[in-house]
Amino acid sequence: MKEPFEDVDAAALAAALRDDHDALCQAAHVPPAGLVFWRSTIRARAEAARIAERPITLVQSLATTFVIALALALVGAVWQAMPDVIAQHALVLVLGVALCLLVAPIAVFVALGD
Amino acid sequence: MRDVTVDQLVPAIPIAEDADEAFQMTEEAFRLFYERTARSLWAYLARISGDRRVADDLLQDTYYRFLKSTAAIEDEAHRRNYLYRIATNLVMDAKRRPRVEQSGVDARDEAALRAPGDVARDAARRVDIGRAMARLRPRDRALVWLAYVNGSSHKEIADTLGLQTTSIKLMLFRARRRLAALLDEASK
Repeated sequence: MKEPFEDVDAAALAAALRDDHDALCQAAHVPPAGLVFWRSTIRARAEAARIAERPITLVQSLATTFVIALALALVGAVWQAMPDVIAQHALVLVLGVALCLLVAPIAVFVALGD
Repeated sequence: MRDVTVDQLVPAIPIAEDADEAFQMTEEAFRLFYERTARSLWAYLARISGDRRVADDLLQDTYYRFLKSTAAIEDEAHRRNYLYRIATNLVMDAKRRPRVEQSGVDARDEAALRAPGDVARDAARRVDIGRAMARLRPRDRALVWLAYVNGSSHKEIADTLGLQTTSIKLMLFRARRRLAALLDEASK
């Protein structure tokens, strides 16, 4: 239900605003409906893809964290078991672990990329 | 069990072909609705934001959000009001971001001021309206536009702007009085 204008000023104002609206509508360069729908479809697909990728990214992050934690735990355990051997070959072992941490994600990427 | 790669997994998720099926209307229905509403909505966005470039940007965004919405639409009037509600929220969000405020006046109208007779008079009135609207608060712009251009009821305005229906009458009265004062000031 429409409320009536309270007084003549409101009616005059309404007329002026409607004229302004009509002029703006004439000046408006709106894109075609098909283009707006197509852009919306593309955006919806991109958003859907982003949502679908979230679990994969989460699993990758968890896997990376797990591998790093496992490597550190292993180093700690070996250190406690054979402190003399570790002390003698510390540099080689550190380089070896670093290499593994560097190569592991690349290997996973290559394996999943095929 | 067969080995599955990520590339095999991703297309299995229904995203590529079915994205538009999640829309609340078909392309054909959208075309008809768009033809009925686009220009009017653009005019609303332009006046409420005070910037035609913002209106250009927000028009696409408004229809996208409208298509993606899952709200239960009762009829054509409700659909239209819902569209304006989305547009209003987008303008209010855009207003919160810092940007240069525009005068709300079209360069073509300013050029038309130099034309003879009625053309210049009409252009002058549009320039006055544009300037006065630009000086109103965004919510007041939306109030007067919805009431006097769209002919929305107080309840529809309240739904669109997220306000109490009972407070619309007074707010509208004050907004209209401010706009009238600004127009009076501009015409002097």
